[in-house]
Order: sequence, then structure tokens, then C-alpha cells
Amino acid sequence: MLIRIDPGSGVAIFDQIAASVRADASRGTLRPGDRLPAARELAEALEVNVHTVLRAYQQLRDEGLIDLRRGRGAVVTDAAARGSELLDAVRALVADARRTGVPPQTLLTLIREEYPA
Amino acid sequence: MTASDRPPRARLPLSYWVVAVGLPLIAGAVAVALQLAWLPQLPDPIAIHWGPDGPDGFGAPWSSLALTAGLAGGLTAMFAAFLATARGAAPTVTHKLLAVLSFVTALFVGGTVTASVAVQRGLDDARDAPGIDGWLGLALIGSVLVGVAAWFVLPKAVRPGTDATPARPLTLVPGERSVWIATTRVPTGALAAILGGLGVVLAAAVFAIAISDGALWPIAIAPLLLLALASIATVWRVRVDATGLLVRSLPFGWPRVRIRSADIDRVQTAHIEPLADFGGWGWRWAPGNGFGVVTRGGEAIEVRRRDGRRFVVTVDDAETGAALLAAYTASATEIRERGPQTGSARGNG
Repeated sequence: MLIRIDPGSGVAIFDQIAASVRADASRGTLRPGDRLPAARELAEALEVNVHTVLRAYQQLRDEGLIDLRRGRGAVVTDAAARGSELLDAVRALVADARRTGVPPQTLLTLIREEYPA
Repeated sequence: MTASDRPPRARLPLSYWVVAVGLPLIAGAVAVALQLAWLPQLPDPIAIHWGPDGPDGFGAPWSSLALTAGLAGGLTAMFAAFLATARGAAPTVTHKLLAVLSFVTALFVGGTVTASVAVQRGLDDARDAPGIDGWLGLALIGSVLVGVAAWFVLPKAVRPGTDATPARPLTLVPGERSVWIATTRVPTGALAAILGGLGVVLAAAVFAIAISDGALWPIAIAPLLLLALASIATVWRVRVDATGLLVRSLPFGWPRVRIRSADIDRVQTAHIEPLADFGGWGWRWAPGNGFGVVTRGGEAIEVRRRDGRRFVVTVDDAETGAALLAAYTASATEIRERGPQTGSARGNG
């Protein structure tokens, strides 16, 4: 599991940790049932406060990506599999756009129209 | 791990099979033939075991024949099975060692049992059999010498791990503190086989202690030691951070291997075959391969230190871990090369 932290980016560290876990899940590196490292261990490796890591884990739990259970730690839920399915679909979409000569800007505009914020 | 990243199974040269299977079987057959020819001259029963005060175990005259045939056949079959399952680039040092060991074992077993029969020719009572310590030593030295000769006659072993690919360093922004953490464990099937083997060793030890009225109690140390080894070598946590690579056994956190990024020369990913490359699973050392944490076959991170020592750990998604480690190694090298100029410029002037 790769956790990328850039302290100079201006994004809160816990947000970066959560984003990294999400990215790992959508890449398929994290699969349902996998266990995230203990918050204490991750905090030590990242040289951040343990509460920062816990806050990221709580955010991921609220999103339904992980389960937090006493004694079992943070376990990845079935939601992670959905993420990798989505990634496959996006890859197929991009390949399709490339083949038919649709430029990236047009594709992004199409997505934004379909999925307004 | 996919099937495609496995290197094709290389064939062992015929000479390896000759040394591992052909010659041991011939040695066994010669020993059996000699003992068969001496059968009419032997006392009944014959001595089959020697204690400090001479013969203390006796058996039917044919028993040493059966022992020789069984050991020669069984041990050779065991070594042949090991050789056949040691997949990967062949022949490695491990293949060579297995082949030579098979021959040396057959020679030693055949030699000692045959000698123990030979000294009893013409005796009326096996209790008068002379000691065989001298023969034992001679068989040991002789078979080791032949083994050394066989080692040099066999074709040169190929260096394992030649399929390693250099890691592509991850692009880090200045000040980035990224971490890669993975857990690697011995697969459940292999673990079941190991525990099954341990059960057999434990049962054998308990049996030996029971029939010796407890005199052999130190034997119990063997299964306990094996159990301890198995328990510390099953699950490992692999961590790459700015300081370098940390591999530690769970749950005790020991043994652990820490390699600082400043000490690393090169990071690669490699394909590891446990038997061919390291002669087994767990915390291993193999000639030419250095130390390795080997939980399964497949992708692995391979690190070469600045002093030339190698370290290998098998782990899923090794590519990502190696990429981050390579990135930290590169920045550590940069600091190392630039550091003295800025840090001690005044001191030098």
C-alpha cells in the first residue's frame, strides 16, 4: 500500500492519507478483506501524529471503504472492488476516446455534463 | 503474481541427474551386492548398532541388506523429488548442492553399512564384532572427497536472479514523505504442509523419548526449535519509507532487517523460486543470493547494498515498493554526493 504525503501541497495530511488509500483501492492494490497498517505504525513511518492517521481512517470508514473494529484494525470492505471496476470502465472509455480521436478536454466536458457537481 | 511472469522451467543438464540419481543408485547396488555375497560368512544375528562399549543392537543377517537398499532408494528418491520441484533458472548452486548431497549421502550410508557387515565376516558371535569408528571416519572423509570432486566435475552453476529488472524510481516532490507498507505471508497450503511436517517430527521425538524412558529428552528441543522458526518466518511486514527498507517478522517484530537508503546501491524487482533460489521458505541465506525473506514464489524486491551484499524479500506489488525505495535511494545518494561540499566547505578552506 502506497501512501503519498506532500507536506508542502497545502492539502491536510489526513486528506492526503485518505486519498492515497482510495487510490490504492481503485488501482486494485487494496482488495476487500485486506488490512490497513496499524495507525501507530503508519504514523511512525510517515512521521505524523497518530491522530492524523486515525482521522484519515475515520473518514474512510464514513465513506464505507473500510471497517474499523476493535482488535481487528482497519479492514477494507467490498466497496474497494467497486472502485477497481470503475477504473476499468474509465480505462475503456479513455481508450475509446483515443481511438475515435476525441480530445481529453471534450471527454472531460462530456463527463461533467453527465455528472454535474 | 500471474503465470506469465514466471520464467520457463529450465531443464537440468543430464550430468546433474547422473550425480543425483544414477551414481547413488549404483553405489547402493554395489553395497547391496557386496553384502549379499558376504551373507554366508556372517553370524546370525549380526550386530547392527554399536554403543560406546561395542555392539549393542542385533538383527537378522538380511536386515543390513534391507537397510542399505531402503536408505539408498528412499534418500535418492527424496533428493530427486527436491531437484524436480526446484523450479526456475537451472542449474543454480542449490541444484548443484542437492545433486552432490544425494551422491555423498548414498556413498556414506552404503559405505558405513557395508563396512559394519564386512568386519563381521567369519565371526561366530556378533558380540565379538570390532568397533567401526575407523570405518565411519573413512567413509565420511571418502564420501566428502568424492563429493568435492563431483562438485568440480559438474557444469558450472548459473547465477540465480539474472532476471532482475531495475526499479523505475517514483518521481518525488521535494519534501515528500511517502510510505509503502505491505504484508507478505507464507501461503496457507504451504503452511499446512510445514505444520504437518512439524507434527511428524514432534511425534517421532515423543516416540523416541517414550521408548528410551526419557533418556533422549533433549530430542524435544528439535521440534520446539522448528516450531519457533516456523512461527517467526510465516508473516512479515515490509515497509519502505524515507529512511529505507524495513522488513520485520510478525508478531514479535524480530527478526528484522533494516537497510538504510544511504547504504543502498541498487534496487530491483526479481522473480524468486523458493527452492531453486534459496533452497526453501522463511528467513534464508543462499550462496550467491545473500539473505532473503522468502514466503512464496513470485515477485520480490531485491536490494544490493553499497558493500555488495544482497537482500531479497518476496512481496506482492513489489514494483511499487521498489519504485519508492529507488526514489529514496536516489535522493539519499544526491545528499551524500552534494553534502560534503555545502556542509564542510568552510572546514576544508
